[in-house]
Amino acid sequence: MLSYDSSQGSLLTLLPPELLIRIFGTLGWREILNLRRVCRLFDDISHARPVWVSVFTRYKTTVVPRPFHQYQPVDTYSSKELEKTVLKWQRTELAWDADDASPLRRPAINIKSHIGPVSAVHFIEGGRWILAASKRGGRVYCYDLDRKKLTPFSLIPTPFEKDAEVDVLSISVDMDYSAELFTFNVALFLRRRASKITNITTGPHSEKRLIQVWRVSAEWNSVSQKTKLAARLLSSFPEETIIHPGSLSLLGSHLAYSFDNLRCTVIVEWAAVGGVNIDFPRKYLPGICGQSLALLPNKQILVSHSEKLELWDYNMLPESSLLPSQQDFSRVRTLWSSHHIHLPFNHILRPLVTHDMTRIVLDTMDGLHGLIVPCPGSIDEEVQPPSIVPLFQWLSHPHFMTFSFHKAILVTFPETGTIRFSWPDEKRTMWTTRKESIFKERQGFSFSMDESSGRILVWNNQSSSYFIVEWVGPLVATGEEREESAEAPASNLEGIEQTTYLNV
Amino acid sequence: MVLLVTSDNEQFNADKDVVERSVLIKNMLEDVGESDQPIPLPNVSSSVLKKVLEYCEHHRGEPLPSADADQSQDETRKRTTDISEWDQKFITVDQEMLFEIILAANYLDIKSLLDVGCKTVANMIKGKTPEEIRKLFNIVNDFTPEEEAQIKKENEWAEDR
Repeated sequence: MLSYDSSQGSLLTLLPPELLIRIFGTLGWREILNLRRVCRLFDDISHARPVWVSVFTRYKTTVVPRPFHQYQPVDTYSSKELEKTVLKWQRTELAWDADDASPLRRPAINIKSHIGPVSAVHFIEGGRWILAASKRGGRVYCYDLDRKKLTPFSLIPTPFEKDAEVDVLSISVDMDYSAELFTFNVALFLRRRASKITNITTGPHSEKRLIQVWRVSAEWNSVSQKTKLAARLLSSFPEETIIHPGSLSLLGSHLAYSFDNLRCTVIVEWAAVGGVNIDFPRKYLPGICGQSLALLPNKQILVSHSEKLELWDYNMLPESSLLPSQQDFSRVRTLWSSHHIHLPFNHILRPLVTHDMTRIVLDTMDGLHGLIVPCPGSIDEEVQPPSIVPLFQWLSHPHFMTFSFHKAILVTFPETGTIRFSWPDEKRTMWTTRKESIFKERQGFSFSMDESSGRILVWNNQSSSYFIVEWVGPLVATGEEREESAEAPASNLEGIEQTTYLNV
Repeated sequence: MVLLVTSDNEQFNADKDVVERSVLIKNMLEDVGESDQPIPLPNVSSSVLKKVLEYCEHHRGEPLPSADADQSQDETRKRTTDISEWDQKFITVDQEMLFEIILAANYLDIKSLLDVGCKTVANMIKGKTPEEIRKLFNIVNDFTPEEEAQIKKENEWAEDR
């Protein structure tokens, strides 16, 4: 019972701490920061671990896209670490809307000096990791951008000889949000070039093409109290013809890609195939060679080809290990087609999947449009047809865009900047553009943007020079960066274990 | 029927399946076995017990949350605002009664009622500035001016603009 005299003070502060912790834990981050400023008792409670465990877990499991990744079990994080993770995400969110965020250009990363020439680079969602595939042997290296000193570690080994010339022609990443710790599957399309030179170890060899699916996950070692990133091979199988670069799409147990010369798109249940034979079952969309494509939930596939975009249901497609013929074509019908909007360019389709819909940003002649593909809530429910909503209008079409999930696009011509837009159901300002003179680079440069971290990866394919721009400004104050542990010099990286310890 | 005795010595008769929404009373009854002994509740006054019994009566027969359910998983998903209409009406009381109900629910171990109480307080806090929170709950600002300035500076970025 409360011994109570209203002139004496507050009833709320008389509640036992565990009840205050319970109340604080149901609130949002901003309310907790407000409570922190109320009085000393609330300041104490606002730092309690259970409060931030509750807030961290709630945001991690309910917010789409995933606002932050988890690299170790929740109970091994300190209250401060949990708070910092949540607040860093929120600072980034606020910075996207702020006018005064100042981009910071970080020093160049010389990948070539670390691992030699590269054939592919991929920026992983969350903005912390870069994958880089070496041309020498095709091994995939990984960079941790949260470190001050950028040194790669070997993540995925090559299936070929160590000194073979290997191109990773396509990379597709599928984040696994059901895993507790940071996990993704990655599909690689590898090509070993033919070699006439008789090498002592390998001898002459012919050209070989291979598709591999790896699972990369953070693994916590409770003894060393460290997390390592480890890669495990899930599937490996040959594919006979060259697939269209950029047409690789991995989602769940399926993988889709387009054959350039056969003019068809293929869907493979990668988990069920493997080995050395090429006559494994595939599903075909004949006559459709996707410039880019994206697998969607509910066995749907979105294909961008011949200046239009089409949505297909591949569930009912027959499986065949033979090449497709035009006769099969009548069996398939499009669920939706973009016949009324003009899609001028190659599309990079980056679907954002929520529990009841998938959203994709489309680049059209008169502006940005959003494609919304609803998911049925239950089996009985009738599926609504996809719809198109306007997101941003322009008078003349800008060039060299890089798409991100749902907030902004990066435009590099006529000026470099971001266009920030909003979806109709979002409360933020309609759109803003921000231009920066931070990069002078344009010709021959490629860009990849990650919204959740506010980072942009910029690179030049000719010179292999890479750098990171913290587009929404440096979010970690100086001094907060943790001590670096001793790292192996770059020359020692070849041939070491597949995993490397991180000091996260 | 179970006989309950409050701190102010009032006696309450209630059905077993109603009072057993309280894990504390349920355990006590199991320990005592079949008995007409009154159960003393020295931490609960009659006015509060009346409210608590009203809640238990309304929710009788509903499944109790299992004790070993993973709390952090299920609870954290729930939003703070989702209190049912009846519960909302029930919990519309003055602050003194609200906190008494929360304390009683905690003592008697009635998880769903504790949830309703905590969510109600959380909803009262939502969207308010530190000064508004102090006013609403009659809280004295015990920071020194220096501390207050420091804490304000640290959290300035988060202010709603």
